[in-house]
Amino acid sequence: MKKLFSLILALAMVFALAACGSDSGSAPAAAGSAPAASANGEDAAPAASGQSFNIGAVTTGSTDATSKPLYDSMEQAIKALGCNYIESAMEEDSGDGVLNAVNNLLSTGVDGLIVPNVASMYGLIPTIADLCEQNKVYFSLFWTNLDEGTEEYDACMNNPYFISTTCEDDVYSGYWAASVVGKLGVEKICTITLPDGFTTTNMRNEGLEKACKEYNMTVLGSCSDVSLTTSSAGGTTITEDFLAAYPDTEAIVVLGMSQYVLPGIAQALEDANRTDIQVAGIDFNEYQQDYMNSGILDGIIGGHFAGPTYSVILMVNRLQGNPLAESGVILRDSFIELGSAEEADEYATKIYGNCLYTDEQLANCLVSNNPDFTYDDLVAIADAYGLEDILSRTQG
Amino acid sequence: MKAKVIGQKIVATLIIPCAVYLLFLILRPQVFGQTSLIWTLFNQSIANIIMAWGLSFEMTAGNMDMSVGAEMILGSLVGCMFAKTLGIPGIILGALLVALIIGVLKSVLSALINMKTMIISIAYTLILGSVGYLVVKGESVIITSDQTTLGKFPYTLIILVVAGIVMYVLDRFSVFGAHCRALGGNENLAVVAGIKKKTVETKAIFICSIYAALSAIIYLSRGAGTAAQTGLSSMSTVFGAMTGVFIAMILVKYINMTVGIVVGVVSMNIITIGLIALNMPSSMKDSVNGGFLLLLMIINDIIQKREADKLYRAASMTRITEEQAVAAE
Repeated sequence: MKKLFSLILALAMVFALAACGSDSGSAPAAAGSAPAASANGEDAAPAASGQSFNIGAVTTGSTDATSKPLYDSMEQAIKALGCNYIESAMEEDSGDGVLNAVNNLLSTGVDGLIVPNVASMYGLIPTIADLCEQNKVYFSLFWTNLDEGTEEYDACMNNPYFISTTCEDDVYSGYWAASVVGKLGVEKICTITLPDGFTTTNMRNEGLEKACKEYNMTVLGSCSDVSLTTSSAGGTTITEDFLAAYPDTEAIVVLGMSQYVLPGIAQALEDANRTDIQVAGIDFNEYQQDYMNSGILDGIIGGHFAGPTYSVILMVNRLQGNPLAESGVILRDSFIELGSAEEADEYATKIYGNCLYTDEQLANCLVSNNPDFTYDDLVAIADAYGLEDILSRTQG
Repeated sequence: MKAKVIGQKIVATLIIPCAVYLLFLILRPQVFGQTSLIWTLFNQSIANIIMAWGLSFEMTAGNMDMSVGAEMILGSLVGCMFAKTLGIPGIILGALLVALIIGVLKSVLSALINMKTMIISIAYTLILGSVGYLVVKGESVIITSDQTTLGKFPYTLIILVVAGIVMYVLDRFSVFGAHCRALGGNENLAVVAGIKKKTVETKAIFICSIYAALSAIIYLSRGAGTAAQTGLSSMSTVFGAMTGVFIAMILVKYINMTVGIVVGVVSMNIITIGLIALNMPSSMKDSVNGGFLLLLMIINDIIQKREADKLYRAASMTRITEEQAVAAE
C-alpha cells in the first residue's frame, strides 16, 4: 500500500513537472530526461529549401509577460521556417540547469541549439561551446552579452558552430526608465532592482546613474530582496517601507521584476493616498495598460522578445547552406518603449499575444526564398524593431 | 512572586523587538521616530505571523514543512480566480478550499508514507508550484482594489486575533499541543508513553494548511495580485515564518509560543525595514538575519549555562550545609 502511494506521488510529481512548461503544445523535457520532439513540428509549414531541421531551445520554464512572448516568437519562427521545435525546460535557474537542458537536447540529435543566459551561466559558455562543437551542432545564445577579450567571447567567436548571441542594451533600459520620471521633474527616487551582482543588474544601475546625473536625481533607497521582489505582496511591503523610510520620495523606478511587483506597488500607493508618486519600470507586466490608464504608471520599457527569432533566421540559413555571416555575430535586441497610456493600449490590444513577425515576413528572411536577403537586412530589421515597427508590419 | 513572573514575561516579550528598534532608532531617528511605522511593521508581519503559527505545531513536533509557501501561493491563486466571480467571499472560499483539499491529501499521504517530512515536503512544493502554474496558465493574476479589504485594518487584525486565540488554545490547553511538545522533546519516550506519532503529525499538517489559507487571504489582499512560482522558488516565502518560529523556540522558556512567534516575526521585519531605511544592500539581509538568529542562540545558551551553574552552586551549598549539620550533630 505504501509503495503504491509512493509510486502515485512520484508519478504525480513527474506529470506536474512535465506540465510546467510551454502550454503551446510542445513537450518540455522533464528534469533529467531527454526531451521529446515537438508534436507541433508536424504542423510546421514546409521547409523553404525542402529540408527540415530540429532546433532545440532551452527555456527557463517561465511564462511571465517578458518570457512568454519571447518563447512564442522563437517557436513561431522555427516552425515558420520549416523546422521542428524541440524544447527543454531548465529544472533550476542555474548554470547546472542550463547544462543539463543542453545535454538533454544534444542527446536527441538536434541540428541547432538556442540557449538563454541565467544566473552563474557565464562560466559555462566555453563548456557549452565545446559540447556543441563535439556534437557538430550550431548554437546561439540570448540575453547574453559577450565582451571582447573575455574567455567566453573567444570560446564562441573561435567556434565554427557558433551562430549568434543577442542581447539588449540594459544600460539604455535603465536610463530610459529613470528618464521617464526625470523628465517629470522628480528629484528623489527609490528603486527596486534585480538581485545584486548580475550583469543585467549592473548595466541597468549604470543607466540609472546616467539618468540621475542628467536629471539631477538622488536615489534615496533601494531594494533587491528576492523574497519581496517576486510577489505582489512583496511589492506592497517594499513600497510601504519606502514611504515610511523616505516620505519625501517622489518616484519609484522598478529596474526589474515589474512583472511581479507592479500590482503591489499600485495597491500600496493607493492605500497610502500617495498616487502623486511617479512610477516607471523595466520588463513588461500583463496589467501595465491598466496602471498606465489609471495614471499610476508613467512609463515602462520591455518587449525585448525578438533576439532568439533573429538567431533562428541566422541558424536556419546556415543549416540550409546559405550563411548570412561568415562567422558568429553579436546582435543587439531592441526594446519596446511605452511612454503613454495610448501606447500601452496599442501594445495590449494589437501586439500582446500576437506574432512579432508574420510567417511570410520570416520566410522572406531565408536566402533560399529571397536570394537578395543579407545580414545587413537582418540588422536593419533588428534595429527597426519597436512599437511603431511592429504595428506597421503586422497591422498592415 | 506572581508579579515578578509577569514582569519577566513582559521583559522577555519586549526586549528583542525593542532592542532592535532602538538600534535603528539611533541610526535613523527620523524614520524610526514615527509612531505610524510601528503599525506598518505590525501590519506587514501579519501574514508571516499566521503562517508561522501554523508551522509551529509541525516544527515543535520535530518536522519541517517547506511546502507551506507553495500551498499559500496556490491558495492565493485559486482565491484570485474565484474572486473574479464571487468577489471577496471568493478569495476566502478559494484559499480555504485549497487548504482543505491539500491539507487532507498531505495528511493522508503523511499517514501512509513513512518518510522524513523535509524530503516529502520538497516533492509537495514542486507539485503545488506546477499545479498553481496550470491554474493560471503561467500568467500573473490580480484582484480589483475594492477586493483588497481583507488586507487592511481592521480585518487583518480580526483574522490575526481569531487565529491567535485558536493557536494559543491549541498550544497551551489541548492534548494535541502537549503531544506535539512531547514528540519534539523526546520522540522515543513519547511514543513509548502511548502518543501516536502519525496521528499528531497528520493533525499538525492539516492545521498548518488552514493557517496557510488564512495567510494566503492576507497575502493576496495586501498585494492585490499574485503569480505562480514553480520549482522551489516558493520556499523563500516560508523562511520569514520559519525564522519567527526559531526565535519563538528560543524564547519559549520565558513566553508562550503564540507571543514568541509575534516577537520573532516582527523583530525580523524591523531589521528588513531598517536595512532599507539605512539604504544598505538587500543582499546583506540574509547575513544580518542569520547573524541575528545566531546571536540570540548564543545569548540564550549563555543564560541557560548561567542558570545551570546557579542551580549547581545552590545544590552544592545545600549539600555542604546538610553535611555540616550532620557533622555538628
